Amino acid sequence: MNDDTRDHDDPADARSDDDIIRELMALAAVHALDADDEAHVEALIADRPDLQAEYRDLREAAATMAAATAEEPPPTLRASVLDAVAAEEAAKVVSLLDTEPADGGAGASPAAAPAPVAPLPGSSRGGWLYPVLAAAAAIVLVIGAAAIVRRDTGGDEPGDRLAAVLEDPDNVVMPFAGELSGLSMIYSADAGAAVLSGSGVAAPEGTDVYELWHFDGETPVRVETFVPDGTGVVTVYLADMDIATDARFAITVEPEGGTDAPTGPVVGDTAEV
Amino acid sequence: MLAPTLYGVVKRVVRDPAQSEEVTQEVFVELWRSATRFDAQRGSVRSWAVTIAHRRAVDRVRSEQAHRDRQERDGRIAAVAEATPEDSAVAGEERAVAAAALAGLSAPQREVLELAFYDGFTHVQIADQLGVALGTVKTRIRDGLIRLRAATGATP
Repeated sequence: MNDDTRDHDDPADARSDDDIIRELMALAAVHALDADDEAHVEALIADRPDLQAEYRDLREAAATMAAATAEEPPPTLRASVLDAVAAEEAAKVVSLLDTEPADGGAGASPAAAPAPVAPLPGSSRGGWLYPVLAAAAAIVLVIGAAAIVRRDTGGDEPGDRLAAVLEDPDNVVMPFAGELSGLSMIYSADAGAAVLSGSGVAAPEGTDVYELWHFDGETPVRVETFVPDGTGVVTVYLADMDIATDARFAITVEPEGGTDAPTGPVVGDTAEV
Repeated sequence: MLAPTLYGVVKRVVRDPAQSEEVTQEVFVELWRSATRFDAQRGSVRSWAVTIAHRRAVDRVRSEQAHRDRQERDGRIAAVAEATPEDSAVAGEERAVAAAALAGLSAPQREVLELAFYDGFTHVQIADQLGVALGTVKTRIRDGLIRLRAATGATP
């Protein structure tokens, strides 16, 4: 992109570089630039908090234009979104859905640790709080809380099982801190299940896997191994979970197949949030 | 609720109801995928979601060779603030505030913003269509957005 948009034929054009960037920011805010140029503008202001603040306000103004055209979506939209999400995730979770916990097995083997329900630091009830914005919150956010009702199709489909956790208004979101801070554990006591979900997760090196641990007191108990998909998204459905809402989870990097006790570096820990 | 806002802007840009629903579905899935990357420091949830929705809608119409034909067929943009009773029932207050803000723009500002935001034209296309200098389009868009922002309770 040609960043210098001064009118060189106009001697009166004495705009500063910042003035020119500000004009480009306005164009980017309404997508009047092509995507490459828009990305270039955002790169130009990446180290300029003052201009980023202005850009944020310009985008808020553009959002006002969107609000002016608000229109009730067709009733089929909500179902199609949930189906699309479920279809995307089904391939990754379907093999786990019917896996019975097995002693020492590689399937989901959630540790049972019944305990009183009590909100704790690092946990956010209801899936509404930002900026954690885990998957549960995102779904509520984009479709609208008032529109969320659990689908009553029998609960046997993968999407239904995910929805039972994600749409539970009393679910608890436990974000991870550390290298895998894009992940959150979403737990529904009512559903008796949890979903480890997030995006922006880098794949472990070689044949290594991530391994999820639940702490029984100070003792880490193996839960599940996982790797992100090709786009860095993780969605792991964990059935038969009965845990405290202040449960602590950690993630380590382990050799293929996982281990019975952590050996690799800790890359995520809910206790550190 | 964001769904009416996102669907509304997508439909305003894409126009075809079936395509609008398809694009909106893609938007929701993208939001779901990228939710953990949302950064509150970079703006509100609404602007983040609208940015994604509008970008996808614009990409869709720009990929259509018939874009200009469609524009001509549909005629010039009608005033966007004309809320139907049905729409008003959805997001009445927010829409009314936005409509009032748009109504407060000068006609030239509103014209270029509508062409950019609702029709998906680039600033070069707008300048060509209106027969004005590129700089004029840039200034009108920027000034219009600043005025919109001020009218809705904040100052850039």
